[in-house]
Amino acid sequence: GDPPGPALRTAGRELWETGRPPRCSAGQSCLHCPCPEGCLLRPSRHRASLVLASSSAYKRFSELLPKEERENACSARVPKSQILTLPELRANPFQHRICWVFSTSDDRDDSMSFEDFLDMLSVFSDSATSDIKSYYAFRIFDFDDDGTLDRKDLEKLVNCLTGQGEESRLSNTEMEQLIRNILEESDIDKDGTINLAEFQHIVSRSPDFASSFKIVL
Amino acid sequence: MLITPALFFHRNKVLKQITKKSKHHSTQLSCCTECLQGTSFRRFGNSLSEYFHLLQLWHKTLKIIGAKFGTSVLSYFLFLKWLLIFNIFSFLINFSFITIPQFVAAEPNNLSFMGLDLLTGAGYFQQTVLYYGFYTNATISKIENGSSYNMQLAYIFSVGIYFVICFLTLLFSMAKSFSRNFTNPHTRSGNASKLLCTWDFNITNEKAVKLTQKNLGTQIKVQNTRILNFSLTERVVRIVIHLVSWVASLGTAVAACAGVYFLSINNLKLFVKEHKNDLESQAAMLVLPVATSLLNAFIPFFYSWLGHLERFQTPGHQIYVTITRNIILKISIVGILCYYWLNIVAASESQCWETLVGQDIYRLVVVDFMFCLLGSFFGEFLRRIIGTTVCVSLGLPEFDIGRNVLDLIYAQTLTWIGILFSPLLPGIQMISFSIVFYVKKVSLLMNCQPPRKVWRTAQMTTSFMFLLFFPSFLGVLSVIGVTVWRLKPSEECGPFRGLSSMYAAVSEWIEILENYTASKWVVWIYHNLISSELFFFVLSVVVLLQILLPLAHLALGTSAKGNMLHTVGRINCPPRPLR
Repeated sequence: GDPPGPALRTAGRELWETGRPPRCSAGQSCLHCPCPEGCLLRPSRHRASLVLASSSAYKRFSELLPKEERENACSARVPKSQILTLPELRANPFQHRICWVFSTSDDRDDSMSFEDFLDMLSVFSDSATSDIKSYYAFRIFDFDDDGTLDRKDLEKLVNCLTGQGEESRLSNTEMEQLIRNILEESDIDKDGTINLAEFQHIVSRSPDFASSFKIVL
Repeated sequence: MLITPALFFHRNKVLKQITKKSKHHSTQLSCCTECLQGTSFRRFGNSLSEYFHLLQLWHKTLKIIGAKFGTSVLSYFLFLKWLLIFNIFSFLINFSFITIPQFVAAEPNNLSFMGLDLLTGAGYFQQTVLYYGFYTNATISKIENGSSYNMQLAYIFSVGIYFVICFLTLLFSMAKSFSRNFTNPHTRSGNASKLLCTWDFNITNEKAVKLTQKNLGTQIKVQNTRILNFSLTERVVRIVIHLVSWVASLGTAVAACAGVYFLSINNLKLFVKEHKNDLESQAAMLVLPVATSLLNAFIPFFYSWLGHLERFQTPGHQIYVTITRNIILKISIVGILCYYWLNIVAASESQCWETLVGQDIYRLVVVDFMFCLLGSFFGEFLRRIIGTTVCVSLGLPEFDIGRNVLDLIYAQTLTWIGILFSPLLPGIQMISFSIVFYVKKVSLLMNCQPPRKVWRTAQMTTSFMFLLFFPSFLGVLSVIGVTVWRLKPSEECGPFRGLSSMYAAVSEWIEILENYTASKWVVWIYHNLISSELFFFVLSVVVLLQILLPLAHLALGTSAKGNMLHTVGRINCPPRPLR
C-alpha cells in the first residue's frame, strides 16, 4: 500500500486519474487501450450514459458555460469563477477548497470538467458511503494539503465555521483553548495533528455528519 | 439527490472495468469490446431511477427549506412526508378494497346535508362510506353464479394487512436508524472535536450561512467558558425543583385526562338522548374535540416554561425532558379516550357504536387540524409581527421542531385508531397533512429564523421514530386487538352485524375452507400462526431483540477504548475513497 502522510495529498486525485476512462483526442495514443476504434468510441459512449444518468447535472453544468461552448460541454472546462456562481456553492464557506479538491486541471487553476463536477456531486450525494464522505471532508479541511490537520488547518477551519463577523469571530485565546480541546480529544497518537483515521473516528461519533455533508442539486 | 445512485453505480462500474483491464494486459483486444458493450443495460435502469428521483415529492421545497434552515428543520418535513406516504398507502388500500365494492351495493342516502356536518362528521355523513356503520355485511356478487365478494373478510384483511405492513416498516426503519445513530459510544465526550464536522452543507442561502456562522461562534464561546460546578445546597435545590416540576407536569396531565373523561361522558349523553339534527346539539358535539385540542395546545407551553425554570445543564437534556412530558400528556389523553370508546360507548345501548366512535375520531382529527393551522398563525405569524414591531428584543420566532413532531405523532395515532371505525379517515388525514405541509412551509419561510442551537438531528429523528412506534403504534395495536377479538359488534349496522366478535368472521371462513383440499395452506397458516400463542411469543421476542440489540451495543460501548485502538491500528492503511 501507499505510505501514509504526504502521499495522501494526491491519493484521491491519482485514483481518479487511473480510474477515469482515458481521455482521447485525435492523434493521441491511449494509455490502456491501444486499438483506435476503442479510443474513438469509448469516451463518447461513457459520456452518453453518464449524461443519461444525470441529465439534470449535465444541464446545470452546461448552463455555466458560455453559449458557444455548450455544444461540447463534456470536453470543456468551466473556470472556477463560473463554478462559484452556482447557488449551491455561492455562500459555502468552503467553496475554494471544494473547487481545489475536485478539480483535476493540470494547470491547477481549479477549473472543472464535467467529470470533476460529477465527482463532486457523487461525493456530496446520499449514496456516498460515510468513508468516502469523511475522506473528502478531510481533504477539504486540509487547507495546506499535507495529509494531516495541523493547528493552522484547524484555525482556518474554525474561522470558516464562525465566519469573519465581529461578534462571532473567536479571539486568540479562545481559539487556542478550542484547538487544545480538539487535539486533546481526538489526537490519539499524540503527534499534535489529526490524521485521516483520527478524523474518521470523530466522524463515526457524529451521526449527523452523513446528512449534513450533502449538496443537493 | 437527483443524480446520485445512478452516478455511483456508473462510477463503480467504470472503476471495476479499468482495474480489470490493468490486471490483464494480455487481453487488451477483448477489453475494447468490453468497453463497447459497456453499460447499455445499466443505462436503462439509470435513466429510470433518474426520472424517479425527479418525481420525488416536493424535492424543490425540501431543498429550499434545507438551504435556509438546515437539516434539523428539514427532518420535521421529512417526517411529515413519511407519515403522508403511510396515509396515502392506507387510503389506497381501504378505498380500493372496501369502499369501491361498497359503492356497488350502495343504498340511497336520505339524510340532508348541512354545512356544519363537515366539521362534526355527523348528519349526512352518517349514511356514507365514511363510517363503519354504512358498510354491508352481505357478500356482493354482480354476476349470477359468478365469484362473490365477501365484505367482512375484505374489511378485516385490508385493515389487518395495512397494520402488518406498517408494523414491519416502522420496525425496520427504527432498527436501522437505531443502529446507525445510537451505536456510537462516547456521544457525550468530545464535543469540541465534533465541531469539525458540524458544518451543514445543505445550507446555501447567504443569510442563513451568516446566521449559522454566528450561532456556531457564540456556541463555541459558551462551550469554552461554561464550567458547571454546584455546591451541595445548590444540588439539593435543583433536585427539589426537578421533583416539583415533575409532580406539576404529571398533575396537569392527570387533571387534563379527568377533564376529557367528564366531557366525553357528557358527549355520550348527547348521542344517546336525542337524534335531532338541530344546530345546538351539533355544536355541543364539538365541545369535546375543541377542549382536547385546547389542552393539547396550551399545556405544552406550560411544560416548556417549566423546562426553562429548571435550568438543565445541557439544552439536549431539556429537550428530552420536555418531549417526555408532552408525550405522556398526549398519550394519556388518547388512552382515556380509548377507554371511553371501548368500555363505555361500546357498552351503551346506542344503535351503532362503531359509527359513534368513528365520528368522535373524525371530529378530533378535523379540530386538531384546524388548531394546527391556528397554531402556525398565532404561534409564528403573530409572534413575528410582535417580535419585529412591538417588542423588538424578542426577535423572530424559531420553529419548534419537538412540539410540531409530537403534534404529528398525535394526529397519526388518532388516524390509526380510527381506521377500523372510519375506513376513509386516512384519506382525510392525507388531505390535512398535505395542507399542513404547505402552511408550515409558508409560515416557516415567512416568519421563522434558523434554530440557534445545533440540534442532534439524527438522534432526534431516531427518538421520534421510536415514539411513533412505542407508545403510539403498539398502543393502537392493542386497541385494535381488543376491538377485533373482544368487543361485540353492533347488531344493526356494519359488516360484522350479528357476529359475536369481528374475529368470528375469520374463524367462520376458515371452517368453510377446511372442506376444500386446495386451500389447506390457508388453514395451516391460520392454525399455526394466527391462532397460535407461540407465534406471537416468538414475534414479540424478535421485536424486542430488534430494539434491544442496538441498546446493548450502546451499553457495551463502555469498552470504547478497544474501538479507539482499533482505529489507531487503521492509521497506517492507505485510504480507499472509492469502492
